[in-house]
Amino acid sequence: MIRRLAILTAVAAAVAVGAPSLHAYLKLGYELNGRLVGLSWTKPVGYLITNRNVTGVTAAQLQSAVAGALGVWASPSNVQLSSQFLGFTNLDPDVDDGFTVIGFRSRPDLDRTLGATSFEIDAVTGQFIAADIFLNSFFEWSAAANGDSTRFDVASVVTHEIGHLLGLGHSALGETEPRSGGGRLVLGKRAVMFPIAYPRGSVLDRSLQADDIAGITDIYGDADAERELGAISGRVTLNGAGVFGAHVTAFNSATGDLVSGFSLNSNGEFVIAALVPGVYIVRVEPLDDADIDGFFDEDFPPNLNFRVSYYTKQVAVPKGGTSGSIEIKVRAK
Amino acid sequence: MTRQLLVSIGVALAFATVSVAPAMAQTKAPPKPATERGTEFLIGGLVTAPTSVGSATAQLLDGAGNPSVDLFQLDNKLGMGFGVEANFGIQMSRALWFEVSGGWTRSNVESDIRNDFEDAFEETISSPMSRFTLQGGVLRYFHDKGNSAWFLRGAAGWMRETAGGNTLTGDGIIGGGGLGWRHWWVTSRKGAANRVGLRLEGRADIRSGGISLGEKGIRFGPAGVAHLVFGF
Repeated sequence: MIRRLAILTAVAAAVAVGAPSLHAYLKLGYELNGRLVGLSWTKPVGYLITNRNVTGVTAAQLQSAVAGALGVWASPSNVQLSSQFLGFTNLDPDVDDGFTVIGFRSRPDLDRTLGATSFEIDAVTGQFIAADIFLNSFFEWSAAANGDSTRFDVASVVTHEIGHLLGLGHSALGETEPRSGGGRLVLGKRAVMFPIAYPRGSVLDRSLQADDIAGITDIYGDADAERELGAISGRVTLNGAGVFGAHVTAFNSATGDLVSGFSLNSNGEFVIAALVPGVYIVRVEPLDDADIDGFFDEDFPPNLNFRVSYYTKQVAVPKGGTSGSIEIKVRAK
Repeated sequence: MTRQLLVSIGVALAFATVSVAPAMAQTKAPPKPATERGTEFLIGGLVTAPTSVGSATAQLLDGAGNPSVDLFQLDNKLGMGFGVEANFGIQMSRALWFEVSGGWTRSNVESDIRNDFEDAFEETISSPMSRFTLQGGVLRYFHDKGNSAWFLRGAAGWMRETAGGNTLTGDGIIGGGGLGWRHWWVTSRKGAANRVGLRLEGRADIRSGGISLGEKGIRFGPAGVAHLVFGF
């Protein structure tokens, strides 16, 4: 039995609410026999590229961008991840065919969606069978080495979508403001996996940020990652009750790194894993910088009724361990 | 007869010398024979002054990779610290001593959080941090008059800073110099230590490494130390 799970970048993301062990970031999960199973590839990711050129990007350039993005996600130390290009195909992405296909399709109806990732999941084991990435050729794309100020950079958007393909959901590490014509404008972000892309011409999302590295290491980290990295765990509470869906950010003042996650159950519990050992400042805010359904299923709306708050102490993250449970008390707006 | 008289005088002089010696020692410690090195053991308390350990800004980046949003800003400092230190010194020459010392200091790391992008209340958060040190150094006395002497001391060695209930550790190096004053209260005490005194020292420590909070390079910090000194 095969089930399909779709992730639509910048518009909607169907992500599991409550990962198996309350991990950082939103990771993709699948409910199997009443429990949530984290989704990841247990074999090399074999993929096909749709043999279709669009203005500004050939199929070969798309393949190069995909190979580059997979390499970028596999590059952090302590990450074990492999992939294989299986060839060009006439198959379209976003079709249940048992193949992982990446390519362009024109979807004028999705006029705020640059790309999307969907999965075929084995409903018995809860593991990936295949995943497709479609890039919306309704927009204008560029494969230029340094970007093109009039077009979206295919390598940057592919890097974001490959993050989904590997099992990551969206990060909320960014600030936006509404556009006059609808949608949101990114003021700044610190994660490739933030759901809203930089404006045309930017190539910044070709490179992972600390938040992305922590996320991928959390899923595909090797034994050294467990030994060398640490975690912050705790609860977000409002008047003693757990806060669901609070955005928790850890800031390492020595490195300037920001890594974030969410409280993912009704107790307000969270874990931010795969952190570089050090002293962190922990900040909590309501999720208010993107469409909520880019993060949480509409059946599980996050609590937005609290003020931005900080944990009252610095948090020490040790090697190979956790900070010990902390409680971050927030106040209602 | 003559021989008996000389022996008697010799014994008397020797006795007189021995019996006079304690009276002299009450005002000045007896010099050690040239071949015998004095040793000292010191134990005391130390106070470190508050020092800045850097500022940091949590920043978001625009599409060109430039900081575009300051999420919040931090000013970090180490608050006043208190600790203990034990030293062991061995005399190298009349005024020059070699010392090894081990110490522990506890202070609070304080972070002032301000300018939150979403107008969170400004606040100061803090948590304790410990520093363990092991150093070797030299000390030179000068103006050694009566029971008091001034000294200059320089030392360097290893340190370990710990936080989070000692779960997080960071190693580094520590060094520095100081100026101090030593005074013997007791100089003829019987027992293990024949001199007991007080040593006060003002220091400037230089540290590199340890647990970082965003500061760059070497950290400086003044400290004051008061030791009980036991001379052997």
